[in-house]
Amino acid sequence: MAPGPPTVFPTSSLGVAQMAKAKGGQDLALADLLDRALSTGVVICGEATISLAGVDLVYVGLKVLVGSVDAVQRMTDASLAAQPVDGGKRP
Amino acid sequence: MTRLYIYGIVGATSFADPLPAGHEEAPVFALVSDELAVAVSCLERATVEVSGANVWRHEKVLSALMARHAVLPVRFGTIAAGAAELLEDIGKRRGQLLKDLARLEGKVEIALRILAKHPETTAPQADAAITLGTAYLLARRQSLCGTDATRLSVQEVSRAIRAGLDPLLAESVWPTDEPQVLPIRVSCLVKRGDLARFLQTVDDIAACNSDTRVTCTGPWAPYSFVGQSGVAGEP
Repeated sequence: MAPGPPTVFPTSSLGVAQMAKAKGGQDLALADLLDRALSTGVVICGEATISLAGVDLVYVGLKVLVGSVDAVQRMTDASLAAQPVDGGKRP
Repeated sequence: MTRLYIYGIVGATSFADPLPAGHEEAPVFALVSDELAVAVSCLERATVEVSGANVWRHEKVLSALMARHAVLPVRFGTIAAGAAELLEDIGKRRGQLLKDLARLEGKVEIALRILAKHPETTAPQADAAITLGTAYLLARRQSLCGTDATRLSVQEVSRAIRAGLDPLLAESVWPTDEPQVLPIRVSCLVKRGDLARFLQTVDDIAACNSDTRVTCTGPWAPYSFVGQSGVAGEP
């Protein structure tokens, strides 16, 4: 069987065929995949080094766990917000 | 230096089928440590961008492995400095990895979301005592938690689904008994042979609750069930 994106299963409001074609079905699958692939799975040697929007995020030894894209984005935002503006020069 | 991007671990010394290309279109190959094979590909870059395409690529390799093997999915973005370091670490964890492979054989993960079909919106607060900041926090709370009525309705359906699915779940990860944040997200570990009954059960329960929507995606590699005893807790 050729591998492919996981199937989106039916819900109470949509039949199987309808759900497979439903707009947003693939987005839903991606959201569920991101929830899992970024925050769960075997934690193994080395580093999980990922980058988001050009910002490298290095988790040395995987002691710090990645939460989710949303969590990573918030961390990135917070990090950027914490940086002083104008090269640190304040009036 | 040749870095190795790690996809997953199987209990075999080779892969039964050819695998799709990995990141940077590099071939995925087996790095063998006794009776375990680690699916890896060479990586030129030091990082892997979090993008839909890259996460799907990681998943496609795992899906291909899942077709013929029990698989332990490795977290997206895991890169080893080299084969020697990776094999040393696999050797240290060999016992736990073999236990997990035996526990997860023939099972897949299904993701469930239970949410309100028509999220309610609240008219803007006219109370002069409510400041802009308070209004923001109230709106934010409602967007995450829904109204009390919505949340109670979704919690009720969640309990019914949990009770109905119980005989079919090898393991599962549910939020706390009365989760406040919607949608309620659940990870279910299901035997492949029970998938049809699992979906029918979800469908039957959800069909009785017109205000609530339930979505399922999968089958996924058992991301939420590796390296743990299977005790339910927060996802």
